[in-house]
Amino acid sequence: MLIAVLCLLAYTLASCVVGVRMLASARRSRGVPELLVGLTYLCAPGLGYPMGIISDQIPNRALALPMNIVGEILLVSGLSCYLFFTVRVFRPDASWAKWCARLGTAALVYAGVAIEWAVITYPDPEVAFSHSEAPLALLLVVLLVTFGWTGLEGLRYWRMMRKRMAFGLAGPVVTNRFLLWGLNGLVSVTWITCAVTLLAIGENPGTHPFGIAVVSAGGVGNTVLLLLIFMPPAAYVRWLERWAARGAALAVV
Amino acid sequence: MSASLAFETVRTELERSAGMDAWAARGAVQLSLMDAGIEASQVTAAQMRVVVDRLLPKQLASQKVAEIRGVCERIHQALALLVDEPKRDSAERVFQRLAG
Repeated sequence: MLIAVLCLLAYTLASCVVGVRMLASARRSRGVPELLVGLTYLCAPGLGYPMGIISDQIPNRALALPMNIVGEILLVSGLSCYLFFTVRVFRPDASWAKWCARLGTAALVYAGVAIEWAVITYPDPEVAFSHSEAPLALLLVVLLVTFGWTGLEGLRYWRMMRKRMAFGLAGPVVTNRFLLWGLNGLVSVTWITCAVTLLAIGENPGTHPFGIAVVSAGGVGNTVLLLLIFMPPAAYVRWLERWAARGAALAVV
Repeated sequence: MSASLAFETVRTELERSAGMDAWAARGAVQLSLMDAGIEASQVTAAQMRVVVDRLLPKQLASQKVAEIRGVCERIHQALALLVDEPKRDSAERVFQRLAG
């Protein structure tokens, strides 16, 4: 259990750092994608998700309830920003994608309101949980689709960037960033799927050993990927450039 | 989805210089861009110059276009008149800035 907490703490901290850096970058560049991704990481995994978990552990309802509500609002806002980031970056001209993001946001808002309504109405956490199972399932499904969609878009673009690299039209570092983005989405899909499956069979993913193991591994995986995407170490960048140069040399031979 | 100015410039020039009909010209440019991993809506003049040099001749040869070198030269002249900036942020540009 301690390992799971440490892994999630690492992911939360990394998300906060990434979120703040991206918001600072958005302020400088006036870039909407930076603003959306910054809000995503700061609001959802950085603040909203931990606030929800911490509020569950606080016995004083007068303190726990407002924290839970604020956490839910931040979580829903952050996930909605993630949907619109995917649209803005990967499908800016597709009206179907814009509609998917709007529908996803509507579903997230509905789920958030329904979950909080149960939490406010029923002071007993177990009764509140039993009344919020359906909206929680909806929230998790939207979460799965959101991460799955952005992950697949990242991998699609990575494939295109590899072709560009062959003609000298793209660099190895940015090309690799698309791969990491895709993997980040798919790692999230894996651990959310595990949590959903455990919920569906009536187990608590927070206490089940398999759930803890997968969520911990997912947290570590997401943390490493976030750092490589948003704050790649110089040694990693040099390694990518050397690897690409060797590939180009082999192609010439 | 609307194509970029560079795309439309090459398509128009193919119709004019190579005598291709609109669909054949569009298809030749589209296939070349697919081989280069670039979307028609995002392609810039600089990227298009590389595509015209390295990929378009193969497509034109498959469509039995005569004087491919001359056609490509005229396309280069048309592309040289374009301002080399895409309409908006591409995914590549956004991802370039993510670690900035």
